Amino acid sequence: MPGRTPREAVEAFLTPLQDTLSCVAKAKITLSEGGYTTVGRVHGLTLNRNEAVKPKGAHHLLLRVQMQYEIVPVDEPGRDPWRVTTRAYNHEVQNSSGEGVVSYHWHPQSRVKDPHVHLGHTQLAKDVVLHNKLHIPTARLSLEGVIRHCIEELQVKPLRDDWDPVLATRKADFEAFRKWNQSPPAPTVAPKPDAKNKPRRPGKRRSL
Amino acid sequence: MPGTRHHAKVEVDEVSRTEGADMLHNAARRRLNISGEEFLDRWDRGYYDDTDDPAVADVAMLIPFAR
Repeated sequence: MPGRTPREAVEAFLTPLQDTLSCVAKAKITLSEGGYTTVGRVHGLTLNRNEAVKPKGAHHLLLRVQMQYEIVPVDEPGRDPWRVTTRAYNHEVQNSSGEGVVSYHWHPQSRVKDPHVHLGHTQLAKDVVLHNKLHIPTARLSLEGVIRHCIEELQVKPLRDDWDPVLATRKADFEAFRKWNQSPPAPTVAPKPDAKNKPRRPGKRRSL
Repeated sequence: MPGTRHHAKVEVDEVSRTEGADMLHNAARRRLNISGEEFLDRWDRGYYDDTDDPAVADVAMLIPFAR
């Protein structure tokens, strides 16, 4: 949702996340320096300074949330001039030992630029087709969808009685304001320093 | 949002660049057994350009915290 100032736009971005997360955890959102006001750079967002939170539930699961976002100008006349756009997400449900159960990824700076999930090695048998580095394509996922999945499918216990309408409302907000669903826009990433001199790591490149 | 209550249990904490670099270092050490500085050097050289390892993504997401 837009805002009259960068800070207002970030607060509008954070409020739905706070509501969503409050459905399953008592946690603190951590922003990188300048995350409320600095325009023209990508900011980081995680929980509890990148420590997984511990929702209640039968499986004693952990949840780690990571996002990157940027404060950008709104190019629509008559709208508030600033909004926040997500640049990447990387959420993971972990077992009680901190090992991955399922990961929800969109990190377009990497080789695989579309949204996908990974299955944790803890959930896979040996000598099977699937492995934890396999990228399983998905549409763009919202944090609201991930939290709902945790509650409805992974037996995470909600902390508030109104979790269902909260997640439904916040997901509707997300869908109203997102700029893409299936195919993300081409990443606008500055070239890395010294990109011409890149000693490659030896080994085979796996192709899909 | 009718029929719901805004919960103030999820606060927001903006960390400093130094604190953010510590976060990245801790993640790099835990997931890849290297320092945060070494991770950033490898990242900038393109060492991870072709990787499929989710652990790399876990650490790379913290780059905005460190610089």
